[in-house]
Amino acid sequence: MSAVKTNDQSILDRLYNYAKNIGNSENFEDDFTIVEVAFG
Amino acid sequence: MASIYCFAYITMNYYANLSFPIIELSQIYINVLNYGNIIVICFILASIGYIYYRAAITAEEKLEQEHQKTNAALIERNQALKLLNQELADAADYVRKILPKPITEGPIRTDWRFIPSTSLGGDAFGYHMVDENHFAIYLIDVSGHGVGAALLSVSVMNVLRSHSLPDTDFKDPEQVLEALNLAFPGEENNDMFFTRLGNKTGYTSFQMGCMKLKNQMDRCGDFKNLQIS
Repeated sequence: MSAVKTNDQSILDRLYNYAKNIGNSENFEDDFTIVEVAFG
Repeated sequence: MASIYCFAYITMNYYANLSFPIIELSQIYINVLNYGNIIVICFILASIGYIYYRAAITAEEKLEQEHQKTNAALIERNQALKLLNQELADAADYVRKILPKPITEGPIRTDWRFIPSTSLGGDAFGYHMVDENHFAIYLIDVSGHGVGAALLSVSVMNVLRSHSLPDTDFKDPEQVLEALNLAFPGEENNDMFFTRLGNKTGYTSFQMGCMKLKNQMDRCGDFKNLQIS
């Protein structure tokens, strides 16, 4: 796993935006939580 | 009543005309009778009008009172709703505050996104060093969302953060899940996910379980050792 990025282009933000695009909505029907852990 | 009186007056007048000149009355007496009848009819109509007017006024006053009561109830409800929303916001802030901050430096780094579907959600997570060799990560997903789900997830999270499960080795996720099942019995549809990592050996122990399914733990999840590449 690569180093965690905290800028707007982080993989978490891309994943979050991707999930929003899939749902075609700004709000999720269920809680949305992503945790990224990088080792080493 | 006025209609009946008018009908009786017209009928009597018609009958009197038909029977004329059986009864001889002076013109003055007839005029007095006619004008007297007109006055009585006007009085009756005025009385009816006044009664209707008073009824309308009373109804309007009652309507105004009901309107004021409704407005007062709405104001009270809005104040209660505002207070409830403020308390929900405070609770949501509390949930956010107990979430760990991202770790940006060191051998283990973390980042996260937490987006509850409502102001309070059933998700929670955390991570911390159990000791110098063990790093614990746990994800809690209580089914549903809202106050009930948030209360349970926060309760479980606080138990995990404070290591307050009795006779439990927090380096062993299986023991932690067993202890959680004892600490939170009878809950249904609340899935939990717990993982621990031995960061010196490069192995992680992965445990997934469901609180309500203690006797069906094999179905809910299993215990694996995963080597970190």
